[in-house]
Amino acid sequence: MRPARRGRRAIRLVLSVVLLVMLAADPAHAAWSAAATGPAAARAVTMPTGSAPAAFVSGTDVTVRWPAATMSDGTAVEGYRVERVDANGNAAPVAAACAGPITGTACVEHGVPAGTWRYFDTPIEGNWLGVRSSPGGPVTVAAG
Amino acid sequence: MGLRSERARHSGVPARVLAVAAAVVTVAATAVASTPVASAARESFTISGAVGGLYPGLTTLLRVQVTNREQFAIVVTSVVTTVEDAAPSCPATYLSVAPFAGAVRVAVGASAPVELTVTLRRAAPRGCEGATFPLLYHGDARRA
Repeated sequence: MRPARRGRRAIRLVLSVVLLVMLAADPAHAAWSAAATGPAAARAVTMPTGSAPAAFVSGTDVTVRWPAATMSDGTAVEGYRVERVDANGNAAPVAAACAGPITGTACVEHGVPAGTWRYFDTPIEGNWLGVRSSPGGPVTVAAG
Repeated sequence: MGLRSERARHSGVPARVLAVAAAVVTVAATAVASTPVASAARESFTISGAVGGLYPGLTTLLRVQVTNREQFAIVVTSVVTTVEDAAPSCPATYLSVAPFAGAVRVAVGASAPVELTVTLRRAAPRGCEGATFPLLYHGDARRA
């Protein structure tokens, strides 16, 4: 092969390599990473306030009912805490059926001591407690 | 005369041809090495978005907007979110944001939504009530 011909072949070879390299550099294959800017946050809600309960006396049983409380998306809260206070506002322990988180919107307290009582309810969601309701109307349990 | 030139002479390829070719290949290779890679000074796209209404146990969608700042369409392939503490009493560990992996095309100068799944753990303490978690997004994209 003549030297001039070999030179042209070499140039073609080199240009082919360059073309391949340039194709590899094609931005179509480029990739980027980026960190975000601007506001970004996840906000938690505050708990709802309970609604005042109503109470009904039957002997020494008291049925307590209250309106459902909901979270911001309309989902009912998972439970409630029920409290009872005497005429002076002193808290009294509630009976088992109303003690602890109540998953519904009513409970019946059995064997309530004689006296005048008011009830409250407080929404619960997980470890969160809502705002205690205003007191329901007073109910009087007569001595048994 | 060096070894390369010696071989070139024996193969019939002029040494200066190889020298020029080597220089061209070097330039092309440099172009590959500097193919667009993200840097803080050059944001190819931005990510922003917030979510609210979180409460213990809730899993919901966090819709972020990816805005393309390039002069060509891009495909967003991943978005990863870093959550920061909302407060000392509400550490980031209580909030999780699932990473996005997929392909979302974003036209030139346009924005497109990317949906992330966010969960506030049921065990979130009361300190998280009403709290705001700062979020930091990081994304990857390629040219469409």
